[in-house]
Order: sequence, then C-alpha cells, then structure tokens
Amino acid sequence: MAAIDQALVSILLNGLTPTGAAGIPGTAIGTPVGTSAMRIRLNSTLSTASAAGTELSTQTSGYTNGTGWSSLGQSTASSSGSAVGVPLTTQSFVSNGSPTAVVSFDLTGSAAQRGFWGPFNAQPVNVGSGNTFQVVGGSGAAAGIQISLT
Amino acid sequence: MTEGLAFEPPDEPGWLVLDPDGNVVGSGGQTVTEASADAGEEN
Repeated sequence: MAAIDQALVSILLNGLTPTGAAGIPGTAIGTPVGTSAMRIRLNSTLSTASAAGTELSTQTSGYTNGTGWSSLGQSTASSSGSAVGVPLTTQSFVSNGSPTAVVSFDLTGSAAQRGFWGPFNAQPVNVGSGNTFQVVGGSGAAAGIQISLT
Repeated sequence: MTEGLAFEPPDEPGWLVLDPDGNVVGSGGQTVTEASADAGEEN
C-alpha cells in the first residue's frame, strides 16, 4: 500500500524534474507543504492516497478539530535514506468520546496540505472518555511514527 | 544476492492509552509509513 498522498507524489516528481518554465524544476518543494510547522491530523476513519479520513472532533484537551497536533518538534533529518521519526515531542489528547476511535493520521502542512498518512498499528484504538491517547515522541527510531521513502 | 529490508523498525511502542491515573491501559507498536518509488512497480 502506498502511504503517500498522490498529490504529494506529483509535487516531489515535479520538484525534481525540469517541469517548470524554461526547464527549471517544476515546483519548489516548500510552497506546497507550507513553510510553517507541520501538523498531525488524527482521523476516526482510514485515510487513503486520495483523501484524509474523517478528522476527530475537538477533544477534552490536547486536540482541536481543524488544528490537530501542531507542536511536533524538529525531527531528526533523514540521512542516507534513513526513515524520519515523527513526532520528536510526545503528543497526546484526553478523550471526550464514548469512546473516541483513533484509526489513522495524516502528516500535513500548516494549511492542512496532506503528505504522508497511515493507519495506526492495531487500529481502531478506542480511547474511553477521560483516558489519554498518546503518540510516543522521540529522536529518530524512537518516535512513534516512522516515515520512509524507498 | 542479498535481499534485505530497506527499513526494519525497532521494537518500540508507537502509541499508548493511559487512564486518568497515568496507568497504561493499551498500547501498540510503531506506525511505519513507507512509500515506494520503485521504478519497476506498475499499477
């Protein structure tokens, strides 16, 4: 299963080939995904390569619909093709659901531009009201979400 | 010829569910999101 939004595939390809005016690289990667801090959107249904899943509603604390998790921290950069771990800083929310089902995530730009996405391991994760859902933060391989491109 | 994994995730927790007292009531492995740019792949 591909785990990258098809629009982003085109952005990457166009950014690395002479598809722009007079043969310049077609798209400056940066603009399509924004230049502000990236975010994690949480969904109660599966995301696909074409569309994000249904975003969680605003929870008791720690998650706001339309904003998501927005203080991920600076992940360790990929080197020689290594995976990038996200988030650096542990993210969490307190559920107001009965329960709140967490199924998938989208790594997005600051204006909700989609990038990588994926289902959480063992989804759906049903988080009872008052309980906390947490994605483990850490440097590199210790982070709860590992993103790679091969 | 050696055929290996491009990336093998470590055995680390990826997510946790905690009760209000901070006790772990659920957990799952890391989410590994791998996109392929395999030139030989046809869809």
